[in-house]
Order: sequence, then C-alpha cells, then structure tokens
Amino acid sequence: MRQHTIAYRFIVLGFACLLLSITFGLTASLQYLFPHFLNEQFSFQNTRPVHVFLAVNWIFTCVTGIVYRYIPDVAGRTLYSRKLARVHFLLQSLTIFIAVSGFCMGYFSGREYLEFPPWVSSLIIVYWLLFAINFLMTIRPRLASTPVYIWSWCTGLLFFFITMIEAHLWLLPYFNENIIRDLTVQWKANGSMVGAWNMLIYGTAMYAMEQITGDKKMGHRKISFAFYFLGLSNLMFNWGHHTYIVPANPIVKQVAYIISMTELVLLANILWQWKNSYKKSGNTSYPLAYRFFKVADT
Amino acid sequence: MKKIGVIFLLLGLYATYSCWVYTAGTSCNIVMTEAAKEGKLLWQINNCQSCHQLYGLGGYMGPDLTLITTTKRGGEKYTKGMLLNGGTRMPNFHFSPDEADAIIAYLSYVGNTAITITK
Repeated sequence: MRQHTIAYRFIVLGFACLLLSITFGLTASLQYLFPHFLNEQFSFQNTRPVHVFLAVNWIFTCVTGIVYRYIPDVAGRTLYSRKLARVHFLLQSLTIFIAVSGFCMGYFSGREYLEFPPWVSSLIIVYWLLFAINFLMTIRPRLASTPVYIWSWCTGLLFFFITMIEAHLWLLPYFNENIIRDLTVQWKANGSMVGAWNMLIYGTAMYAMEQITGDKKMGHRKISFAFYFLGLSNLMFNWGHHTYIVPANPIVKQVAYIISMTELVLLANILWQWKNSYKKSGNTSYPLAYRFFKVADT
Repeated sequence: MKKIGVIFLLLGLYATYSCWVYTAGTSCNIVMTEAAKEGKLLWQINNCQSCHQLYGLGGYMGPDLTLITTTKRGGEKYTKGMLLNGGTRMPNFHFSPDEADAIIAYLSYVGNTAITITK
C-alpha cells in the first residue's frame, strides 16, 4: 500500500481538479445565462480558462496516477525512483496553483486551451520529463516482446513533448505573423495533444481489459497492434477536420477527411465483435434487432 | 522489426507533412502591419478568445469576429464603440482609443485574409 502512496496522491489531486473545475464551470455557465453576474470582478474571461485548465488536469493527472500505480505490476519491479515521483507531484501541484492563481489575477497567453503564460509550459515540460524517466526506467521496454499498452503509453509520453513544443511555435514571428499558419498549427498541436492523452488512456484501458479477462495474449495480438497504429495515424493526421473553415491549403482538409474515415474501421470492428459475442451467447431474445445489425454489417 | 518499420514510416510521414503544413500548406500573401501585431498582442493578453472566435477557434460567449470589421453587420465604428464601452455581455476593458485602433487593425487583417482567399 505504502509503495503506491504517490499514485493515490495523483488521483486525489485529479479529483480535487475535477471538483474545482465543476465549481468554476458552474460559475461560468451562470455568467453565460446572466451576463452581469460577477462581470466586472471575475468575468467569463477568467472563469472559462480556470474551468478548462482544471478539467484537462483532472484527466491527465488521474491517468498519471493510474500509470504510476500499475507500472510496477506490469514491469515486475518496484518504481525506479519514488523521490523523482514525489518531485513530479510537487512540481505538478505547484504548476496547477501558479496557473490557476495567474488566471484569477488576469495573466494570460491568450492561446486557446493553453491560456497560461508560456513560461508555465516549461514547468510542465520538466515534470513530464521526470514522469517519462521514471516510466521508462521502470518498464525498460524490449520492443520485440512489449505488449501494445506499453507502446501506447510510450507514444503518449513522446507526443506530449512534441505537441507541447509545437503549441509554442507561435512565439516565433514566422508563425505569429501569419494568422492562417498560426491557427492551423494551433489546431494541429492541440488536436494531436488530445491524441497523446488518448494514447495514455487507450493503454490504460487495454491493460485493464487484459487484467479483467486474464488473456495475456491480448496485448500481443496483431489486431491490437493494428488498432494501435490506426490510433497513431489519427493522432498524427486527424486534427485537420477542425480547420475546415480556415483558408489553408485544401490538402489539409482532404488528408483529415480521409484519415477520419478510417474510424469507420473501428465501428465495423465493434459491430463484428458484438455479432460474434451475440452468436456465442446463444441469446435468441432479440432476433429482430440481431437481423437489423446483420443487415447493417452487410 | 515490422512494428519498428511501421513506426519509422509513420514518423517520417508525420515530419514531412508537418514541414509542408508549416510552409506551403499555410502560406498567405497578406502582411500583418505593426498596428495589427500590437492588436494581436492586446487580443492575447486580454484573453479575448475566451469569449470570441477567429475562424471558429475560441469561446462562444460572444460572436465570431473573423469578419467583424469587413461586413455590414459590424464595421470599424461599431467595433470601436464596443471596445471602448463594452456591451450587454461584454465587460468594459477600459481600452484607450489607440489600443482600440490596434485591435481593429488586427481584426481587419484577419478579415482580409478571409475575404482575399475566398474571393
């Protein structure tokens, strides 16, 4: 139990972010309904970034806690450095405090979803680096025999760095002084960053499935890797569908459209799996619904 | 080894595509003036995108301002009035007339990129 204390602290921090996010979200929604509510003292311009920042933090702080909780079990060894994890926790808590205090006092970068001043991002990069070191040194992945969920976690860690740096390219005049480039790259970075978090979540879900079913081969199957690569392609190229109204080169939209369509493969797979499980169960209570699904498959 | 090959192939495609997006994919002939640059800075430090969108990116408390200075619905005078006094939903940010002009220059630049390209 004691060895997992730091993981539980992250989860508690995540839930604290959720509670605060709901509180500020409710305040923002009241301001939406009653525009004069706290309009001069603490306007929507302050409440919205606090709500968004804390909502995002609730997701990835909890996922970080879950990964810290389970990586010793997956690796079959203790966490590489509990001291490093404690420093990570303190730094992440401090970053949340600084960003939220800054929003309350009116310090903004004015960038959608990453509205804190750019120097706060350097703190995020540092604690994410500590997390990556602890993760990789505990797991010590061997690529040939590594299950898909570790690939997923590693990809999420790597792409968080890439997209976080990309989200700050606006600091360079080349990007900042061309609104088409600035907006397109902003969507690109934000869209792929969500993909990076999704990779952490997919990995966690896949690990949980393996534990629940007891099927140790699940994480090594070809189909699992096929979906991992499909997810990775979506992370890299699917962001463009946010930019349909930005007058960038039409190819950006076409690439996004084609990649988005690959998600139909996921839907087809879900239907296929469902049909097979239904057959196996021998349930004949809903034959009409089953026939509809069969026709949809066809 | 196949998996590593696929990873490197995807990373290569991602790097190539990113370089193209950063250059030819987002080229624009309209130059941002010094006033517009100052306006963009004011737009950002006052977190205007929290309530307003440009090309659909931003909050929904206020209207999308991509074409606010270039269409009959808005116009420069209307925009300046809102910037200097606030509105029913918009707080008064106490901008000076020069600051309001800079923000209008930025919004005009944004509007021109939309009009020029869609003409």
